[in-house]
Amino acid sequence: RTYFFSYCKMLLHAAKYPHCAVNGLLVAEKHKKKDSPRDSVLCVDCVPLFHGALALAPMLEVALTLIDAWCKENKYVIAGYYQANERIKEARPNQVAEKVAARISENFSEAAMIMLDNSRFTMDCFVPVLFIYDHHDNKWKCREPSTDCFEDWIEAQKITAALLESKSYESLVDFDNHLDDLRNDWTNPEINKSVLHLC
Amino acid sequence: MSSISELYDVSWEEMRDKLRKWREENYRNSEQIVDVGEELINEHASKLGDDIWIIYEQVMIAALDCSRDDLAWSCLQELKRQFPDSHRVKRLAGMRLEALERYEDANKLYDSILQDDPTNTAARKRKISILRAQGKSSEAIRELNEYLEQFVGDQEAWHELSELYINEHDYAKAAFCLEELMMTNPHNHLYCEQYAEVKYTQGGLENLELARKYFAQALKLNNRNMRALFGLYMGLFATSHQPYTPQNPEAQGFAARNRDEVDCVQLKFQHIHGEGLSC
Repeated sequence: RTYFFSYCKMLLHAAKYPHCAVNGLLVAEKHKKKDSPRDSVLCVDCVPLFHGALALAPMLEVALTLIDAWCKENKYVIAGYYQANERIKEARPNQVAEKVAARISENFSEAAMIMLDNSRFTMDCFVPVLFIYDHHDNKWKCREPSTDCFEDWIEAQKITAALLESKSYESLVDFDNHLDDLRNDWTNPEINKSVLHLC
Repeated sequence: MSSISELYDVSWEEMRDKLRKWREENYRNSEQIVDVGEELINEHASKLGDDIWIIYEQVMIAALDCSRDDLAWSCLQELKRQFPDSHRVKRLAGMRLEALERYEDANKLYDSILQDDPTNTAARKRKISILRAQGKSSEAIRELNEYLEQFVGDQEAWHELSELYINEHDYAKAAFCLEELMMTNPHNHLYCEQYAEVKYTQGGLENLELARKYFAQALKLNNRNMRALFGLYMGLFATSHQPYTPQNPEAQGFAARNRDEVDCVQLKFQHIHGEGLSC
C-alpha cells in the first residue's frame, strides 16, 4: 500500500521532467510480522532516482548501494520500483523496469513494480494514475486498479494536487540532481515538510 | 497574479539576458521560459529590438512544451508576418503540428521544405523526432544513421543516436556514437564519462577495465565530476576481484593495482563529503 509521501513524490518527479522517462524506488518500514497478509506492506516514502537515460548500470548500482545503506540506518527496506516512460501513451514496463524490480524482489519478496499512466496524469489527480505489478511465478502481473492500494486516497489526492499547483516539483531532488551537486538531498526534507504541512 | 519582474525584482534587461543564457546553453526549463518570455514580449517588446524575433522562436518552442497553444500561435503569427517565406519559420509551424499530434501534416510540411532545400538539416531532424515520438525507434535509428552518413559532423545527432541505442540496450553501438563524440571533443568530460557508463553497462572484464580508464580520464578533465568519481570507484571495485584465468593472465595484475586505487578513491570521497563539492 502507498502512503501519500510516496505517491506525491512520484508524481512530482514525473511532473518535473515531462519530456523524460523517470524512475525511482519505494521504501517501506521494516516490520517483522509473522502472519502478515500480502498487502500489509506500507510504502512510507520514495526516492526519485533518474531522469533521461534509465538503461545505464553504474549510477544505478551506486544509488541502490547508498539508498540501501540509508534504509538500514532508518529501519526501512527497499520495497518497490516506479517508472514513468518517456512517451505519454506508453505505460508498459520495459526491460529496465523488470530488471530493477526483479533485483529488488530478491531482497524483498513482496516488492511491487509501479508504472505511471502518463495519459491520465492531470493537475487535479482525481484518479490514481498507477499500474501496480506484483511478482508471481517469475512474471509481473498487473493488479486491478483501485484506491485500496492507498492508505488514505482522499488525503493523497488533495496533497498531490496542492503540490502540483504550487510547482513544488521544481525543488524536488532526484539522485541525478544529487550527482550533479552533492549538496542536493535526495531524501527531500523540504518537500516532506510541505506534505506534513498540508495534512 | 504578480509579474515576474515584481516577484523576483528583476529588470527587463536581466530577463532578456536570462533568456539568452537559457537559449545558449540549451536548457529545457520551458515553464520558466514561458513565464519570463511572455512577460518580456507583452510588456517590453519595443525595447528588445531585433532580439525579439529569436525570443519569439524560443518562447514558441517552450510554449509548445507547456501546451500553451495560444502563446505558441501568437508567436508563430508574428514570425510569419516578419519572415513570410522562411524555412526556419515553417519548421516552427511543423513543430506546432507535432505538438498537436498531427504528425502527417507535420511530415508534409517538412517534406515541402526538403523539396525546396534538400540540405535542410532541421527538417530532417524533425522527421526523425516524429518517429521517436511515435515510438518507432528502429526507424528513427535507421533514418538517423542515414542522416549521419551525410552530416558526419553533427554532434547533436550523434548524441541523439547514442541515446536511442542506449534505450534499445544496444550498448556497443551507443559506445561507437560516443567514441565519435570523444574524437571531436577530446576535452569534454561528459562524453568521456557517458562512454565509461556504457562500457560498464556492457560488462565483462575488458569493458570494465575500459570503463575504469575512461572514468579516470573524465575525472582528469574535470575533478568535480561526481559520476566519474563514483564510476571510477565502481570500476576499480569490479575489476579488483577478478581471479586469475588462463585466458586473461593480466587480470590479477590489474586486480592488485586496482585494490590499492580503491583505497585512494575512498580517501577522496571522504574529503569531498567533508567539503560538499559540486560538479
